[in-house]
Amino acid sequence: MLALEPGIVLVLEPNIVLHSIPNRDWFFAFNVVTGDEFCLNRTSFWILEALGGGAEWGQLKCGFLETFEVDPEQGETDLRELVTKLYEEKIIGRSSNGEEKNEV
Amino acid sequence: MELQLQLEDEFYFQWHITERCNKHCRHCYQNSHPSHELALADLELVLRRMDEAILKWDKQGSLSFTGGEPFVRHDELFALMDRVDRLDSFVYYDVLTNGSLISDSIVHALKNQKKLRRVQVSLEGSRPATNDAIRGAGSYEETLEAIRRMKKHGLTVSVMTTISRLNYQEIPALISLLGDEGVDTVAFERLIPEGRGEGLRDQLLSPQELKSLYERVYAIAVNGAKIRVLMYRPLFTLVAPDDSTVGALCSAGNNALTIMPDGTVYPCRRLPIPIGNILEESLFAIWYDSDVLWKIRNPQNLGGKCRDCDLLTSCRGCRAMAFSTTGDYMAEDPQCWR
Repeated sequence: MLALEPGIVLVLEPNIVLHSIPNRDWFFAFNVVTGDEFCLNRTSFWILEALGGGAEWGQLKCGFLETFEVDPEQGETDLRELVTKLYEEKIIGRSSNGEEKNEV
Repeated sequence: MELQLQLEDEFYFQWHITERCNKHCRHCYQNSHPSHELALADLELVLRRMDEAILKWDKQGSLSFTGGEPFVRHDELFALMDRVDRLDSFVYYDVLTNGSLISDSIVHALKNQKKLRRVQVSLEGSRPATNDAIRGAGSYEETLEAIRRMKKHGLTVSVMTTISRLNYQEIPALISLLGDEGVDTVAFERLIPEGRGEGLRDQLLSPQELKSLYERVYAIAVNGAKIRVLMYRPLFTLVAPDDSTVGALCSAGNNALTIMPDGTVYPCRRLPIPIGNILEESLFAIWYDSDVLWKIRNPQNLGGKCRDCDLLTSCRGCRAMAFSTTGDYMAEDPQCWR
């Protein structure tokens, strides 16, 4: 499980690439080694782009709430859910500096 | 999380196992300097990578073996066909050849290939003079002999004709001739002025000439031609927008890749922009991360009249034609008559 707490740094997994065609509502992540394709929604794609080379959980949360202008409590719940899903699909991971925690 | 970039249910590889050829056709997209070609062990590795990708994508794979002239490497060609026959990933394959090396023994060997769908040869006109002026002296009779030899033994034969001002007026007569010869299918590809064909730039049809030809071909095809006329090509859609058997999106970036003799990958043989090498990187990396392919996939990147065309869902012109005539593969198709 991934503990989403201040200080934890999230990153794209090394073999993941992102591509989109926004005008067709196409948002994808691909694993170029395994061939796995992940068809995403616009919000999940925003998260992955925001991670870039790595982003700290607190910064990601602030950026998310600011960009989508949602209720902070509901927004954080939604973000945790999406990030957890992306983590479970092995699209993102923790930075090697981060420590694995037990709970999301 | 939903998986799959579902562009098409099928995926096609055009595999040039050699660029060596015993002909020297004037319109060929190849230049005169054959590239390095792979030994059988590396060809088998290429095939394994294709197989792996098709299985991962859960597509129906198809494949054309071609060259150059593929039968100049007949040992490797038959070894590869045998292997594809045993793979679940590929539904069928074709062999695209000039026909000149198809002997009786080759025909018998081809008859034993389980997944061979068609052998495609090329004929450029209904008259020997027209064909031979493009493909070389004697090639008309040679090709017809190859067709007859293959048909006699029950192989499915198709003919491909490259359209230019050198031959377009003979196309109706050619369709009739091929029907009489018992050829199964005929298809027409527009001359792309690249490779040796660059010297024929002034032989490209004008948009109006192409329109007139495509309308004639369509009329022949739907009015009892003795041969099946394949019209799955960009711009054919314009002739009969409501006929689903006519026209097709350019396959580049959509459901096809071309593998060159040294493993270089192109979006299409007629669009010779290297996007990787199958021996140096995975097909997944090439297919998923090529900027060229992603640019092609987005119709918003199209230029000129293609960009706002109301037939965008069924035709985006030929990207190779745009590239060879303008240097910009997203430019409008210069032969479009709309």
